[in-house]
Amino acid sequence: MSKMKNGNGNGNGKTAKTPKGLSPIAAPLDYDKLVLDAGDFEVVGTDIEKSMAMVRPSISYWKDAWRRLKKNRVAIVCLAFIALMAIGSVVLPMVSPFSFREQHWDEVEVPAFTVCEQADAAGVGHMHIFGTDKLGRDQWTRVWSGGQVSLFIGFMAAVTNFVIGLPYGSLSGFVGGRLDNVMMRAVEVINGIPYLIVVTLLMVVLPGGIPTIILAMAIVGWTGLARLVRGQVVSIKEQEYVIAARTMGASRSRLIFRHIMPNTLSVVIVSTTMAIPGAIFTEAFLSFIGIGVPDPYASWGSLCQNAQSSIFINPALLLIPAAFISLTMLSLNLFGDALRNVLDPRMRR
Amino acid sequence: MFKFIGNRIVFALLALWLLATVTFFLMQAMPGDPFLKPKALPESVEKNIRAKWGLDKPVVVQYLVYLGNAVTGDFGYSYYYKGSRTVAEVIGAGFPASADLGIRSLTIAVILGLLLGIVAALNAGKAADAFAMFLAILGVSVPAFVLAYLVQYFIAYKLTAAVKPVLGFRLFPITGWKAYDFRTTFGFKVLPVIALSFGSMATISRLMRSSMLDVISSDYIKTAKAKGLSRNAVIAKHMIRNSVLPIVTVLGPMAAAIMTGTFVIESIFGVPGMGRLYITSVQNQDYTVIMGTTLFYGAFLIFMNLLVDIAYGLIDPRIRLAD
Repeated sequence: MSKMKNGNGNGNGKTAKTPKGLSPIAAPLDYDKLVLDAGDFEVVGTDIEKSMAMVRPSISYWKDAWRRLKKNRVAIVCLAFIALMAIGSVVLPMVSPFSFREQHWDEVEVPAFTVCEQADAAGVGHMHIFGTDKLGRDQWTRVWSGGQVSLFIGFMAAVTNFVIGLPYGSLSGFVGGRLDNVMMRAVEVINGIPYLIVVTLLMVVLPGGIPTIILAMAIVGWTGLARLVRGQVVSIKEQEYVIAARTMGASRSRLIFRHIMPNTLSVVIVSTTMAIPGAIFTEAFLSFIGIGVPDPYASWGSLCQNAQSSIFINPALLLIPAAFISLTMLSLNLFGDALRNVLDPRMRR
Repeated sequence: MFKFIGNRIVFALLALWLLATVTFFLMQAMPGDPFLKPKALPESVEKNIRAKWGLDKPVVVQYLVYLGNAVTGDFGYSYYYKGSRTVAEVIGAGFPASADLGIRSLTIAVILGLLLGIVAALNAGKAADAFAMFLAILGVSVPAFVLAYLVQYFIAYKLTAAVKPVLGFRLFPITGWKAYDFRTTFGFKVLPVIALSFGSMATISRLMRSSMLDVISSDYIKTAKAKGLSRNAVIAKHMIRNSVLPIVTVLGPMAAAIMTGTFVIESIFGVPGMGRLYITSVQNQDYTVIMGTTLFYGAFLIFMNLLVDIAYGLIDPRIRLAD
């Protein structure tokens, strides 16, 4: 709007260039009488060096993403929390005076911060920070070693999804045609079967244990990522820059690894991050119904399951692992959200 | 359109067949045999029993018989329940309670989720938005069984005990399902429904919010405002109608989430439904019931997904064209 008002104005003397022979303060310019000749202009020329020079350091996509991620305080707090959980799960059970399977029969379901007085225990004189469970095992050690199991399963399940889903989706999308059709129909059929039911069924049949849980999740879990990657590859394949590269004679592998793969990465990373809380949730569910991590090993889900019988007497036994699961899932979800915002070019402004 | 629906039906049937096959062969691969008993049967008796149940036939024949029976809903007898209850009977006994719980939860999740999402989008960036989204991210992050225990402990145990002297009856029982008194019947259902619907509600509200925000910034909303429509008319007729579409697509997975949610919720609240039945049959290794319920659940979910696909195709013509 404002532009139009100025448009028909007759320069009010403050125009940048004042023609020769006219006083700068000369009132309204009379454009009809204005005569310009070649002498009014001079060739500035182009300084190749200057125009090609980088004014600011080049920022790669990943650097930029990291820079914007750092600005998001919630994401950084979540990332720190996840790192803390991971480090704590690895280190704390190792430095704990108690073992996750060691029982203290004189100290069953003691409240938090009770000092261990069982003479034959290695950790005598140390504190049961979260108390003990109904079998007299140190809850602090169990919660942290449970974190080890839960986080490991979550991470591995996400990685296996990635390992199967990414090549499957890329191949299907890149080759296209009949192969694509057949591969995607297969995914659709597998997708039609409810995930948790198949995992439960597999867990019933296969021998229990952590590798089985990961395997069961991997068998049916990869379809989502495969679909996502395929969709990305199909759309990127037709982009002008890929066609340009192909026209210029880029080899197939160069097209895939140099032009297509890097551009699917952001979607893949976000989806993999989001798969971790999903897998932790599934593991908790399986352990909760009693077919997940076998005793004496602990996971956050099995800790909740073991504590359920004494919920009204000793709620802390349930509330602590429950809080650990919830907070970790919360952090992973929030971090995944932030990552999506950062990595998605459409969110840029 | 018919081609689209036909296509969907073919895939649903394929998925169902695959599930039935996987279930059958997994159960075949299972270690153990009904005849592995401490007291060995005489050979002739065992042979007769095998012949009676068709276990002497080749696996392929057994498989075909199984498929034929499954189509008619005959899954044999439960291993665990005495008195030769058929799997169909066991499922039939558990289904009503689960359906009751599931339908209530799904309805509440959809209504509250939509409402929360709409409020959040209309107040984007304000306190109401932050609150709604905090609730939503909490709902996505807290596992259903944790929430179930929280409400059981704090509401059914602490709060109910606190208000019992005032009310004269137990407001929310800790577990159980049916009672003769209306007040208590209602009380039995509130907490399981809260625990079951919260996660789905959160998912719906997040989706609704982002879909709504997409719509709000589109040109036809500007047009609607510019031509002088009232705010309410713009919201109801232009924004909500157009942004509610993506919600339809999650109804299939949502039904799955609520259904698998019933596994733990029913166990925790002692609801005699199919979910608890499934868990107990898994724990008791009652294989025929596991097979039967797995197929029942699978068929139910595949059917739900089919309905959602068709409904979406009807509502949004672009889906049909793309297929």
